[in-house]
Amino acid sequence: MENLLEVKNLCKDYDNFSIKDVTFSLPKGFIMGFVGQNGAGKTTTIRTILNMANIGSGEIKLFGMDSVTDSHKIKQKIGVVFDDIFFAEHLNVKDIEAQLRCFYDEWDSKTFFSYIEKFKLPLKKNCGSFSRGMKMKLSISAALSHNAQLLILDEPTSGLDPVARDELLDILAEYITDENRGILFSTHITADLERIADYVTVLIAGKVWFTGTKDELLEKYVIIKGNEKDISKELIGKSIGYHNYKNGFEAMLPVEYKNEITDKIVCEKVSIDEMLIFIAKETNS
Amino acid sequence: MKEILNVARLEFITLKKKIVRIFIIMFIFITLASLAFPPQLILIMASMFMGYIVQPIFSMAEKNSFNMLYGVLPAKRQSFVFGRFFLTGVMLLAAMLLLIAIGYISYAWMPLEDTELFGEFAYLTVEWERESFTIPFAAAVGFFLGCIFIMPTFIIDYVFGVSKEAPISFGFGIFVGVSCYVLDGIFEPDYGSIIYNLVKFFVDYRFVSYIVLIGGGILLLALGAVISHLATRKREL
Repeated sequence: MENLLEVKNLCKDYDNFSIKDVTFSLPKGFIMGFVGQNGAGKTTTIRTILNMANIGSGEIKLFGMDSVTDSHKIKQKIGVVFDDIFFAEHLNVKDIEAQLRCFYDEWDSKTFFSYIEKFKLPLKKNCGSFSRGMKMKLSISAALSHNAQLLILDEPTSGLDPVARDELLDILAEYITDENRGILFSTHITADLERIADYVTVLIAGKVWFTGTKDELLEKYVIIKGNEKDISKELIGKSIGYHNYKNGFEAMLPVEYKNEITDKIVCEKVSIDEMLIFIAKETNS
Repeated sequence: MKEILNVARLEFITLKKKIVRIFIIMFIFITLASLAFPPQLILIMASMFMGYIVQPIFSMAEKNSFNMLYGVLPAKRQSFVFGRFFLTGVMLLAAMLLLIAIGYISYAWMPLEDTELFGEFAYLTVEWERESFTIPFAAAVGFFLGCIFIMPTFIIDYVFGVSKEAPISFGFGIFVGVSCYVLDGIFEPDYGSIIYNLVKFFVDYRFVSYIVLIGGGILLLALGAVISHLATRKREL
């Protein structure tokens, strides 16, 4: 399988935060969800991929090219959406299109304006006065108008209402029907990932906790609940995010230990959301 | 070069509404000021400040998170610095040409006589061909001075950010003023003689004078671009 994006042992230090040995790959034709708590290092990793932040150590390749030395060539093939627009707020859609079209060899003005029309964005209104959803749609229109092979989205759905989120997810699903494309989608709204992601990379405190298929992740753990008298200390030690509350306990357990639990303990499937909560509890304890 | 032109175009589009307003204000200012002052003097002063047409891009870039835009666009990091200086040079040259036109217009209808125009330097008018030389010459001097002012200002903006530009520029200005005062006290130059010799040189070598002023200004901007790039190339966006 050919990889659109390869991150190998990426390390980067700031004064009070660091990412360590971040390694993951995104194959062609798939969507990867990039999840973690706020401050886990998702945006830092994305900024490093885009050569907006310097690499401490490690290697990043996009389309087989080095992310630093070939950055300007790579960006011809990447569409990027951040959680807020990066266009001058006093400009309108036509001004923004005029600014962008010269940079991209494969810019298609017809495609851009067809998206603008589809999203019903006004042509002559300043983009600073757009709603949150309209700004996201403008960013998406720009990202999809130069035949990008890789979309990198950094929390694009944060602050969007459910209808706008649903529209965005439909656009992404349509985009990925071309098997030569890929999407890296960073979010902490895990419901979105459960809907469209094929692969998931979980970042916890600057480190990769898991990277692989979504199904693999969801089948790797179960949630156990019950009375604290019914769980052995050994099993508590093997669980993740164990905590007591008034009526019993809750924990996440790797599936290989499932046969050690008694019938009195309830076993449930885990969602990505719950996984992050239990990991956070484990990290904070 | 294509990337530099693209960046210049991008920033021009960002600034264009402000630029038109500034040009209109300068036109009105020069035309009115020429009623009481020599148009050549007004042109020099106006040209010096035309470089600041592009200066608002720094605060606009910070306010609109242009660092993210620059990080996303397929262009080398240095193109964003060189593109801004390139746009500044083009704006200054365009302003120079416009000011020459305005200068001729105001010169044609101004009410002042030569002695009122040039005061104690009125004798210099014998050496000068007024309409064909002094107006474009003044605009070229203004272009050169504009480049001298804008180059360190942009370097400060790039290195320290817009918010620190005012105190640093103020401090630099004080330093220059004090240095000039001290040097003046030490060397006591004969300004009249210096200006006369300079003007005589420029009159005798007219083509060279334009090369020196315009070429020198462009070189200064190029140097400013290189310094700004070297100072910021490792910086994260």
